[in-house]
Amino acid sequence: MSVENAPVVDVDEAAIPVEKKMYYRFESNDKKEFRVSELAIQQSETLNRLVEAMGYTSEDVENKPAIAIENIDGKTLKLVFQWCEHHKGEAIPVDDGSVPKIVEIPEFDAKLMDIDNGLLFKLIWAADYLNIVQLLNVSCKKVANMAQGKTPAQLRRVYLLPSDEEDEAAKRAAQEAQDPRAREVEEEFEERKRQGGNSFF
Amino acid sequence: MAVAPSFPLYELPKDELRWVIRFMDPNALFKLSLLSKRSKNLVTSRNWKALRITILVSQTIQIRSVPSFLGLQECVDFDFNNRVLKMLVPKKVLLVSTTVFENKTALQKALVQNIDELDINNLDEKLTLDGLLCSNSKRIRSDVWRISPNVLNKFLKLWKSGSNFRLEQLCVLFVDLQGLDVIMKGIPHRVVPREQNEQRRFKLSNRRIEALEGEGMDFHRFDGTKATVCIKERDTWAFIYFYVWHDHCVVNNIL
Repeated sequence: MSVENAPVVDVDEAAIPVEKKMYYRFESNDKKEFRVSELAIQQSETLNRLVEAMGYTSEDVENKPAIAIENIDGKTLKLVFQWCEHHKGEAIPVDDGSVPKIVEIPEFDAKLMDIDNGLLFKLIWAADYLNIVQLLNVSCKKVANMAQGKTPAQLRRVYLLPSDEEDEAAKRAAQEAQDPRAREVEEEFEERKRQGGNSFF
Repeated sequence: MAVAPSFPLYELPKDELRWVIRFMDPNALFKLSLLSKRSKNLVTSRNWKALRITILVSQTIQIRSVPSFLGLQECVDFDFNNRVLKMLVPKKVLLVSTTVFENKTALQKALVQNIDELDINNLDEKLTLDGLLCSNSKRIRSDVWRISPNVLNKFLKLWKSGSNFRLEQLCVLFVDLQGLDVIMKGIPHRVVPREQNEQRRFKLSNRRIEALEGEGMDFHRFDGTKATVCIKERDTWAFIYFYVWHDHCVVNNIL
């Protein structure tokens, strides 16, 4: 039946059942709980897959324990979920491989990221862990913007970049720190061989 | 909240670090690549190619889309300057101040490279006659010449004997007018009157055409190649132009 020929029916909008919005509960590694809307969760590929796999009903959400996110603290998670709620329903950007990547930081995001660099570091880590592409974009863009107008010497200070000598020294220190354990393993292996064992494990 | 002054970039996991790098503009990437081997590897690991670049280095660095030009104007750090010159030897134009070189040796190293055009600001005593003779450039320009007219006179004599074969134009500004007549001392030459000299046009290797000014003083190298010196005198300073009439520099067969 064509659209033109379809019968016109008066609809009582109040009679249409409205699906109740579902809010999931999440808990940070320092036991802070957050309630996040289903739509906001869609910004995170990781969390979206998780809740889909769990198949929770509204009752489950209320009755079962909050979903634990063990790698992220409450302060960081609060920022993450604030961002997700603000941008809920927005399309998730697809990486087109362009270089340099062009991303504008919206006013809301700029205010949200007006934080110390330690917290910004955690936010980037969380955005990557939870696979929130646009949050990762804007937070990395903020870090990249710190390089603007800086001399090489200033860049070294801003990003705490080690010199070649410092890199070499850190590498040597790491090797030296690793050697005692390597020696222990070797000694243990030799001892077992002496005892006639065929398997190390 | 006040933003802390530093961000530990290399403590980011590799993937996030590469993500940040993708947002940096070419200026920042270039500067980052100069800081250490690790930084250079990080930037080059992306395999991005620049089709055309021009780099102007002063207190800041700008990379623009014109090829083969390097400007190094102010001394930030001798070691940094040397590294820039080593990494980014331009094919065509080097715009440089002698103050960016720690000593004569460093300057001479830059001069011996096959750079078509050398534009030197603030030319000081670091540029010796030997340094000038080492230069393999087609065009040498300087806005201030702090070595004596005697040195220029010796240079012209050595050119007559066969030095600086590629040279097409030398242009220097003398701020001390004392002794300008020494420049052509001992060099047999023919004075070309202003009216006749100003009819001549000189084609540079960058295809620009210049009109000669004032009187000309023509002389020849041992192999017959002709050259002209023009002195443009002003109140307190003078430009000295030295043109070498290679075949490709002659315009309309007038030389």
